Amino acid sequence: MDVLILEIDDDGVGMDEEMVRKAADPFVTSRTERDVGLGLALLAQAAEMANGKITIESKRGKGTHVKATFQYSHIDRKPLGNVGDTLITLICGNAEIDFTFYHKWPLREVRISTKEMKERLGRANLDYIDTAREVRRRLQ
Amino acid sequence: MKLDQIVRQLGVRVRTTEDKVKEVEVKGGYASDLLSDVIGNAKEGYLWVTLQTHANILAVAKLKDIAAILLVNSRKPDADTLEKAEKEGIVLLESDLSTFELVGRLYEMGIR
Ligand SMILES: Nc1ncnc2c1ncn2[C@@H]1O[C@H](COP(=O)(O)OP(=O)(O)OP(=O)(O)O)[C@@H](O)[C@H]1O
Ligand SMILES: [Mg+2]
Repeated sequence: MDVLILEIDDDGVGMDEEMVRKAADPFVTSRTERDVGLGLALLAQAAEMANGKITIESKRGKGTHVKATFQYSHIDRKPLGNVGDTLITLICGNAEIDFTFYHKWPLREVRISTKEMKERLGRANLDYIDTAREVRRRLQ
Repeated sequence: MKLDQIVRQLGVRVRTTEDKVKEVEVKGGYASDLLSDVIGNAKEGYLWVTLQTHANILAVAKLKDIAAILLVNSRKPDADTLEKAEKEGIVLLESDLSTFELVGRLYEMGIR
């Protein structure tokens, strides 16, 4: 199967139907500090460039599911980049949110869960050292 | 330098927001097709030279207060891009020349 699938689920505030329809428009944002919202717009463009697309499902008060597909072998598919550093930044920059990361390759899989990390280390909060060590070891 | 002088001298086509061409001042230029690089390095009032035609270029231009976007190699903006550029008041220019040729000429004209 020549495909890369990226899925992000959250149990955050969610969106109503109209917002779901418009969310990937770069001029649609609920931010107040600027009038452009690039996250989903750039993800959609990246997927479309590689023969894929994004789909967004959401319910107000429940959460959101974003799925992006890419033709894996497409010459314009952007490389995945440094997933470890991205995760470390996400986890350390959002201490109040628990993250579960799962990556499945054809012959290997990796799962990282901040809840499990906290339990195993016996900590209420993860600091940068804990996070960086765990994430780097698992993604090696 | 005023944008309309550049438009006349390079013979580029104005696709959107024509009424602004006379008043816009170009303070410098940047050429790149990587949006994150433009966000990082382009400055307010710059003319941005690119081959990208997706509507996302407009949001980047807006974010960075770009003077105008110049599309190279006869690339045509997507219909959605034309519509949004007009709505957001962003000047879109079009040329048959390549990035290399355009940037060379602009640099010679004193756009640095
Ligand atoms: N997971 C989500 N849950 C709830 N609302 C969302 C979610 N993702 C996007 N939205 C809504 O869609 C809008 C556009 O999202 P997008 O990620 O494209 O831009 P942004 O988050 O506003 O800005 P940026 O990503 O550039 O920092 C957001 O402002 C928000 O209102
Ligand atoms: Mg976002």
